[in-house]
This record gives sequence, C-alpha cells and structure tokens, in this order.
Amino acid sequence: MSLFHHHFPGQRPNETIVLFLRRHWIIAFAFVFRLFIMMLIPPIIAGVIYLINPDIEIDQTSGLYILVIELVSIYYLSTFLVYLHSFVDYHLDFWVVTNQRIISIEQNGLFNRTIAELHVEKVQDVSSAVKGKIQTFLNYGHVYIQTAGAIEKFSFDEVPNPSHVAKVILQVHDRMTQQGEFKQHQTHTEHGHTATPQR
Amino acid sequence: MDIPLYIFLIPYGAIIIFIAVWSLFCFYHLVKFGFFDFVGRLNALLFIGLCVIVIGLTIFLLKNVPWLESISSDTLLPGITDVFDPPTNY
Repeated sequence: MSLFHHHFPGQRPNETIVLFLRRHWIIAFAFVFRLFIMMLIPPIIAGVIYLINPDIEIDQTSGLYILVIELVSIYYLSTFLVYLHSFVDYHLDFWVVTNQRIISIEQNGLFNRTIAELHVEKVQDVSSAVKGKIQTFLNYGHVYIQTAGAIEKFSFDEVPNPSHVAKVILQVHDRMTQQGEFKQHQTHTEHGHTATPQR
Repeated sequence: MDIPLYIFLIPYGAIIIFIAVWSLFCFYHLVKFGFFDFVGRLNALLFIGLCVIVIGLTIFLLKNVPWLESISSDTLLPGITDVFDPPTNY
C-alpha cells in the first residue's frame, strides 16, 4: 500500500481521502506479460537456428559476432525500457476522491500530463460501465461523472469495482449537499428570519 | 577498405546513452510526481538490475575481441558456417 494513500500532492489540510484509485492490476499484468514474451524471443530464435544446424559456429573475432552480441544486447535493453515506460505511464495515472474534490491525474507518455479537478458539489450524475468478458470476470470498468463545471464529463478508466466507486462518489456528494443545507438552516435559525448565506 | 573493430562500439554506445537518458526521464517522473513508493522502487530496481545483467554479459562476451585490429570490408561477415546448409555428417 502506498504511503500516499493517506496523503497526495496538493492535498489540503482539512481534506481526507475517501478513495484512491489506479487502473486495474490486469492492465499492469499485460505489459509484464509482454516483457516475458519479448525476453523469450532471442533464445527461441537461437534454439531454432541451432536445430537447423547444430554445427553452427561463429568466429569470436569476426564482425558478425560483435554485431549479434550488440544487437541482442540492444534488443533486451530496449525491451526493458519499453517496460519501464509502460510502468511509469500506468503508475502515474490515478484518481482521488476526497471529502471535497475529485482529482484526475493522467500521464500520457512522459511529457504529457493532464490534471483535472472537480468539486464534489458540482457532481450531477454518476454512472459506471463494465464491458466485455474480461472486465465482467475481473470486475473492472469505467466510471463517468456528469458535472456542472467547465469539464462536463469526468471519467475514471479501467478502475476496479466501478459500481462501488460510483456509489461512494454519490455518498460523498450527498454528504456535502446535506452539510450545505445544514449550514443554511443554521444561518436561518440564528437570525430568526430568512437570511441569504454568504457566498 | 579496412574497418577497425572498435567502430562497432560507436553506434552501440550511442544507443546505450539514449536508453540511459530515457530511463533517467522515467525515474525523474516517478520521483517528481510523488509516487516513488514501494512498487515504484521495486520496478526501478528490477529495471536497473536487468540492465546491469545485460550490459555485464555483453562486456563478458566481448572482452576477448581484439578491438584495435581491423577487418576488410569485403570479409565483414565471415566466420560463420552456413546456417541453412544441413549437416552432412549423419
């Protein structure tokens, strides 16, 4: 569990995290699996060549030997780099629901980062979608938030248990709304007449 | 035309430098955006460990190459028995 599950960059002093979400682990598994497959390719090719001609030999002082070793080395290093890049892309995408805001941080490549923020009071409608066999079996999908803000639709992509996430967001919104009504009622009671709350 | 064997190290070195710089960008992003947590550190260590193994093996396999010697451009790719000729000594 990340230390930052209890704190995230930009968190306000009186703000508590209700949900901290990343994409479902199956997304990470896909590029881990791809890494393993890519690592197996050069030994498989070497095995096939050896099967075709078991007597094959390469002079260790020849240009071909140097080229083969360097190409295999570059192939593996590039494979690891692609894995690291995919991991960073996955790890830096997250969504936070707090008692005040909904924050979406999405990393698209290394030099493209989108941060969007929405106040919970501006949530109008929340829906979830689970599409396909894999999403159904593993219970992950998308959450869509209709807002009254500048960004009309927020979305959480490929998050686990999307229906529960949608429910929690609505609960947080309802709680904020009730607190707002409570503060209005308090103002009305204190002044003994209808008073417009200060905005 | 004679080609010194150390010529093969130049493009290899350039690619290694590119991979190193790109990796540094990845680590920078992991640390800067505040999520260099256990999983981030584990993957970073895994990446560095695997790269060290690959580069170490490359150095080991290439350490006996006489880099200062030259080969002729006409005979750039000798030294290999023909891959597609089946063995005749059954």
